[in-house]
Amino acid sequence: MKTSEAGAPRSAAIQLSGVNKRFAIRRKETLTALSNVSASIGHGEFIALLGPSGCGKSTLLRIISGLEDPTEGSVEVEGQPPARLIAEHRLGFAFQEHALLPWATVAENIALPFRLAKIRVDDARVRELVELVGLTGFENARPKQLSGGMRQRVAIARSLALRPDLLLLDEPFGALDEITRRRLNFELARIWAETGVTTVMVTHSVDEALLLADRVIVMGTRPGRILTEVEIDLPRPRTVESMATNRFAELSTQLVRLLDQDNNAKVKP
Amino acid sequence: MKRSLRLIQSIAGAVILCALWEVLGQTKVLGPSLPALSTVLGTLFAPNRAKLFTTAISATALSAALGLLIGGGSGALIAGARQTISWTRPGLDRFAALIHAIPQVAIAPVMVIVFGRAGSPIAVAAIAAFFPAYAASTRAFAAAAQSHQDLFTVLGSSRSARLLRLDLPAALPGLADALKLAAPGAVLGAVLGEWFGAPKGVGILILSSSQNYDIPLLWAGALVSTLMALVGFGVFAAVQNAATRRLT
Amino acid sequence: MSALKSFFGRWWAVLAVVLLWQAIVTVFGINQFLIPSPWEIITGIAGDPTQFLLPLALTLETAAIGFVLGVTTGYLMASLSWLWPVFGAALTPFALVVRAVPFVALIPVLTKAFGYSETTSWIICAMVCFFPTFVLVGTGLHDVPANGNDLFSVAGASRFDRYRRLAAPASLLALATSIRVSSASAFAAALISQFLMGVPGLAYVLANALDRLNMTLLWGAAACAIVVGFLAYLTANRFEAYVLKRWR
Ligand SMILES: Nc1ncnc2c1ncn2[C@@H]1O[C@H](COP(=O)(O)OP(=O)(O)OP(=O)(O)O)[C@@H](O)[C@H]1O
Ligand SMILES: [Mg+2]
Repeated sequence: MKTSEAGAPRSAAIQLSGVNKRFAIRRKETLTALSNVSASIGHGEFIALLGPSGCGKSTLLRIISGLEDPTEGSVEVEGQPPARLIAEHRLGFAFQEHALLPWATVAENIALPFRLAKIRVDDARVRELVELVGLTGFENARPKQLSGGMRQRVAIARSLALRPDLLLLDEPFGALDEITRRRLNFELARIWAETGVTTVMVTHSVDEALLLADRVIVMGTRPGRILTEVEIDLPRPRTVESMATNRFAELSTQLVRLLDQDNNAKVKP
Repeated sequence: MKRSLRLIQSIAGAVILCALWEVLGQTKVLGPSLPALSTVLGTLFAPNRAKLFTTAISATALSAALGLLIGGGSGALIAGARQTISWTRPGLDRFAALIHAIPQVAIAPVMVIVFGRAGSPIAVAAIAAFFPAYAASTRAFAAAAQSHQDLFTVLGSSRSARLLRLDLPAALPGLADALKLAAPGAVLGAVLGEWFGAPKGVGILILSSSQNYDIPLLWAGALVSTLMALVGFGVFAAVQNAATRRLT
Repeated sequence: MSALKSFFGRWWAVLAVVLLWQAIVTVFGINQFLIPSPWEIITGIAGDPTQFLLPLALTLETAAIGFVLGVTTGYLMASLSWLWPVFGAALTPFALVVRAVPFVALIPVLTKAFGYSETTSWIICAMVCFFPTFVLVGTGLHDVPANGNDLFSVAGASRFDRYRRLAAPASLLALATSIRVSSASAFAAALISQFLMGVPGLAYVLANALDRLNMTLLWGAAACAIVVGFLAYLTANRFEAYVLKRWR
């Protein structure tokens, strides 16, 4: 794990200050996707972004990555604009739509970050990643020959290829069945524990957030904003047994309530 | 479903049109200027004319192919530059529109002066092929999904790597599409370019038979140039199908 | 300042080609009799504008008459096909086939079929405009907004009401597109048919100038044709963009 110097205040890996994001949808008409979002994410922290559909989770992730600029406010990654991290090939991003190249095989897709960083492809690393996501034997398959869940796993493997310093995951397990999902949850927890990579993961699943995150940022809709943050103080490593504990149930209820409140507030006139 | 309906309609249309042509020609209701389809086909496949047609067809096909190579190739290349360097876009679009708006009959005599009588068909074919190739290639280069573009951005890709590893492979089916659309234009451009005194070719065949009132030969020439254009279209349509199957 | 920037953004490629041409002719002292510089072409036209403008007006007149005829009948036929589907089912196969046929190839036989006259040119220009309009508008009429049909069924609207309030507005975009496509091809068809028949017009000037090696006339006439074709294209494009913006 990366640690900050002893005594010094822990510097933030990601600092969001007063971020607003508006999209122009028609002439003179804008949609506020994010309103006044401020957050500080520490080095090596695992953050889960939890919130209903359309609350701006993907948009927030894109702003952190530098794909999108905030309309107002600022975003800094290690005290620098996000573009810096990209230029140094230290960012891993698994997109919601997986974004695999259809003309490339599984192995070629996973090796893409090496090629774009102009580093020699580390075949051993690619093999290791294929095995990690349980796709051994499918190295030479093309994306269209894979199921939706398999494609997502390739996308996750690709985001890990260069051992990034910041990992952004947009609903990485969305299309997976419950069993595979759980298994990959624990895999991800292990990878994170080993590498200490700062991770921001978007999810719809309360359980997933509780199994993985140090802190859950709960978001609400219209306009997209941060409702609250919840520290997850469950001991690590978390296992299936953790899910049976009282604390897990408490936290779970708390999160579900928060999400529900936001929902009801919108339904009532 | 809709596609197969269109296909059936097209085939029905073609069959009825041919039948109508035959009947009108046989009965001579429209006078001697419309010979029956069978008469035209008879002219086309007459043994004593085989050499005439093969010489003409090969000359025109060669001009069209060279024109397609030059015009279609530069159209695709310029579209590639447009994709990579974004400030060039409005200017190149305007330039391509100008090339597109050039009336071929107007440019052909000028091409005779610049490139000679044998070079004019190639030049006109190239001009005719340029715009369809440019337009379709532009569309093709924009075909890479936004999520793929985002991926390359996030991975810190260089411009050249983006072109080579994303834009180009994503564009390949579209580039075949570009050639498909440009090929008929090249054939007709070559035919038109020949009208201004090329030594041989289908265009010359059409022009001289028109002047000599050899109506069946004139129709045969028109039929041949139509078929050549359709064949050019069909060949690249097949290539496009193969590329689409392989790359998506 | 930004107006200037956007002007050069759009025109840099065209300007660059013209300037390059001027520079090459001037610097390398190319045979100025055969290949004049852009400046010489302009002064050539300015020297005796009537010998270009009168034939140009004749060609434009033919193109405009054919254009209006073709687009109007194309739109009317497409509307009739929408109102009485039986009518459309009978007509669509032909339109599909004829549209696939490259028209340039047919102009030589059409000039023979209809006889050498002004009217023939009109008919040819009209046919060139008719088929794309018929097919595009035919598709556009069916491009009604989702639920629109249900809404009108519930309201018990007559078929003509539905045409007037739903299908016709929906087809306007297709009409604008066919106007863009047709305007350029009408001008080209006017030139080609006038050239083949040798009737007065810009094409006649071109052919004549090539025969007599009158380079001022040849390059000037070609330049006029290109500029007019380009202006027609730009105007039609503007118009289509305007309709697109208004109706979407
Ligand atoms: N490029 C864009 N242009 C216009 N509006 C956009 C754009 N991107 C996102 N939005 C809008 O911003 C809002 C938030 O979108 P976002 O994709 O961030 O939601 P999300 O929380 O990721 O939802 P989901 O859970 O369904 O993925 C939505 O209302 C969406 O319509
Ligand atoms: Mg999302």
